[in-house]
Amino acid sequence: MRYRRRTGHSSKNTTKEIPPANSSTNDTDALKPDITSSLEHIRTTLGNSTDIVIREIPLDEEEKHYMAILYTDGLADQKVISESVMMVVADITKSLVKEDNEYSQPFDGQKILEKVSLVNHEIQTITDYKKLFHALLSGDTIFLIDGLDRGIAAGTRGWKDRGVMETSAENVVRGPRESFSESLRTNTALIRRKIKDPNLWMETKQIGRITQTDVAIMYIHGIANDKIVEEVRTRLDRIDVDSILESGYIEELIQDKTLSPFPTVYNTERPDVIAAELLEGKIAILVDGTPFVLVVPALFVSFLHAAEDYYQRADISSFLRLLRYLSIFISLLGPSLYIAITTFHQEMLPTRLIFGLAGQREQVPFPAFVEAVLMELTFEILREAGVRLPKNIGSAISIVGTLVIGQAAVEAGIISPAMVIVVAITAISSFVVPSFNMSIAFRMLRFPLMALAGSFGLFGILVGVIAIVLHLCSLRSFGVPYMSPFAPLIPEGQKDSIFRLPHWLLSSRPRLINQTNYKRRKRTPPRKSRE
Amino acid sequence: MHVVKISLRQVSILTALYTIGSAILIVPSGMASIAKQDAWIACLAGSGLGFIILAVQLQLFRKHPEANLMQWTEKLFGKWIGKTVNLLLLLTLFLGGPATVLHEIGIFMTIQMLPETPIQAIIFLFGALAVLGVRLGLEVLARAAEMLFPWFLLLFLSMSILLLSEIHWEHATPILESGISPIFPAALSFVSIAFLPHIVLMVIFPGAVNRSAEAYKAVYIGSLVGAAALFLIIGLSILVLGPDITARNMYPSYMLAKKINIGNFLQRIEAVMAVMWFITLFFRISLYFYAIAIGISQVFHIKNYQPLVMPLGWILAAVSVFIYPNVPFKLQWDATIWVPYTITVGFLFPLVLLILHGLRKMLPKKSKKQSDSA
Amino acid sequence: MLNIAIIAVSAAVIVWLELPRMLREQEYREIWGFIAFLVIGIGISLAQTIFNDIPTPVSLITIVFKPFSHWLSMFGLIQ
Repeated sequence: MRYRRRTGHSSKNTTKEIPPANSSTNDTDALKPDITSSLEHIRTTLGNSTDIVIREIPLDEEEKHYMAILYTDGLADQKVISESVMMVVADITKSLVKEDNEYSQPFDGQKILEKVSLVNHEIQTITDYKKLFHALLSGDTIFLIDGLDRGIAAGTRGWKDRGVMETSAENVVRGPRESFSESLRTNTALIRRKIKDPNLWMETKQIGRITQTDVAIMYIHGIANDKIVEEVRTRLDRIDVDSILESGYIEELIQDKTLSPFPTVYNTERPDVIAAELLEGKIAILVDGTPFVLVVPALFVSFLHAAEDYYQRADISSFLRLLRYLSIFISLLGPSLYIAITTFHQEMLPTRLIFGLAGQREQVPFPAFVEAVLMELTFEILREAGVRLPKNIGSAISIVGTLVIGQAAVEAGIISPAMVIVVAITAISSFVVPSFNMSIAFRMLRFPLMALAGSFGLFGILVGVIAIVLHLCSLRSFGVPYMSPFAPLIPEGQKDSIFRLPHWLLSSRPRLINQTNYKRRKRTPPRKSRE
Repeated sequence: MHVVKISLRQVSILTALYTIGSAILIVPSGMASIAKQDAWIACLAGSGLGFIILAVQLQLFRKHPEANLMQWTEKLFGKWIGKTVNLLLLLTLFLGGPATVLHEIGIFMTIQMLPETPIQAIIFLFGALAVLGVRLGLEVLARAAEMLFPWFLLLFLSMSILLLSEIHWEHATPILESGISPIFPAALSFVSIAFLPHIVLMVIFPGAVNRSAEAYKAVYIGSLVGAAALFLIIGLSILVLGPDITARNMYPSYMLAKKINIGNFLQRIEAVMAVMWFITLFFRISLYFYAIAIGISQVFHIKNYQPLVMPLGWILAAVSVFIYPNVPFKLQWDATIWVPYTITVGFLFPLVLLILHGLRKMLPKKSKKQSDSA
Repeated sequence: MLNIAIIAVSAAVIVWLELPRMLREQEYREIWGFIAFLVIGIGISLAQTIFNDIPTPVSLITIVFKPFSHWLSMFGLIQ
């Protein structure tokens, strides 16, 4: 395992002063007017890294005073540099030098800085090394002038990006296909394209001692609950880790502290989903370097809603949603019910089916529970392997999985055909759930339920289900009860949980998330067309 | 400690599930053996009586909705006598309440559904579930009740509808064959399970409801729903099975479920119907247990009741195993001792509290008069 | 023997689940109550495994209420 020193976030103040890995990354030393020593300091800190380009441009005849330009090759956009930055430098040198290559006037650092500021965009004044390194390593170009104790960082970020492509994991039949990319700025732009309201506010932080990852919070002021926004800010500030490489790190570090297989933070790759959630009053957390954006607070129903539900007609969507809820039950209870009924409650099956099943079970050496666990584990292994396979082997593995293991195992007498059917249906139903982390939760819970079913039958299943219900009802996501609008029962919430009523009826926002601004629109039912 | 607030709707649902509780399983048998085919009349009479009893129980709390039963006892009896009375109350309620219900479940499962499983395993499993529920708190129990209640309704109504084809109206005749006299004991037996133990709710709800002034209405509504469900079950038992079989069988509702037969395809689904009784039994045990945990922590001035739940749960499971040495003892006890006990605890006790409260209110005026005239 | 082992393990598990949190929050009254009831519980379980034939505590209630029960059966109850 890679060595990682994490202090994470703890509820007690046990902070011993652990010196950070490289003490000058948090260097708040101020810049000094002497440019030679500044450049020396910068070079040593960066270890003379070869991709950091430092150009020195003389500003007077004896070449004793310099202007320095620093950028990171690969992170800074070459085109912008050659157009804006170098042109400015050329212009400045021209103004200093007369035709006969003599420096005519002493340079005025201040004026030079102003000229630079004019031509470049996104100007930041740099007064200490921490900001300098952060800007330099993010792709900005730094201007330092001898004799001034401050410099300028010009926004020249531009690197090779994956660009806006189709979503890989969240496909829809109807609806936009854009997905976020790994660059924070692209992602925020995608969201702003959907919501052009000035109340869409954004705050950025740098989290992660060594990675200094940019993390942004977006919310719509006036719709989002201020208390929750404040809570998000506090939790993000409390994070104290070395690295944030993906939004999953942040998710784990800010989620409510309960030991639960169920996710309390929602994540998605699609800008339209994020826009919809923002409009409901939730808060989006974007992390630079990953296309998966977090949404907080997340309720149980969010994980069962697909973006498409709102783009198709209400009756279709309601039917599909019901199907999804049914699939949860099947994926959770499928094998357990099979085990319970065949072991304890055979009287429930029609007589002819019992004969068939009994005949099958005769040949199998294991009790139903062992059989079920074996098959389920095999399927989980196959599924996990399938995720990582290169595309050309993928089909071979699925053939192995279905034909060889399923068919051959039945013929060898290790498992019964009914078991294969049950496992297959269960597995397929578990993929109907749109959100991966929710379907994993149900898949994991299947196993204890199978154990309970094998020992206590239907009674055991019920005990397990009640235990799961109790657990779900005790969860909160950033203070909001996880199971609303089912429990506590909110009647207006029912319009959009199991069914999806037509848009002209969905006139209010979820009430527990934003308490004040919850009337969305006036109800304007569709009018009958004139004959 | 975290302040618990549940909504009125949750109060109604919890009360309904509590009322139905174990009654749905055992009440038809007892009543039919006493009143035979008039058990349904006894049920109606019992419900009427029950509402009067509820009125007595709720009276104190309509006036001061924030103080629960334990606090009233200490206030009206004085601190030390009050604490002793509370402890006795809690101890006996513990034995007669969750312990007996847990034992019921164990016996029901071992007799009807899982004959080869030791009763300790079933008691331990369900006891652990109750411990989980109570440990998580009243809000969680209330929300779980809101989520599970629709399933109970679904199973209950589907069972009732599916049995409509099996009704034989002549089972209910002749009406009042033995006259009025058997109605009273049957009604009393009904009330002793379905209404008198609601005194336990007086320990839980006051102080925990967000609109406490109207909480009593929610309790009435919940009890009404519960009583209606019980009436339906008793009626169906008599009409479908007949008074003899109902009286002789320990769990007539289970027999009812066995009779469901749709097109020779969906039959013998009593295990699925049993699910609905487990739901109500779970909430009955949990509410009993929660009341006792809260009560004990109040008597000893322990602020957080949650750590006590697991040891109390252990005691509960351990005691439940041997609380009834055998089934005839249980039937006898339920019929002869449980009724006077619940009458004392559920009716006489709140009555005494009311009288004391009334006296107390009059006394300050008396002493004021004396000090005025002195 | 197995039963006593189960009792010991269960007691240990319960203590492990609850005690650290109680100590952290310094809930001393709760700790006393917890230990008291746990001891009672262990006592009852041990008594059950060793003696195998404990009279049910319900008999105490029976003794107290027998006269009332008798009185009621003269009017309304049926034995």
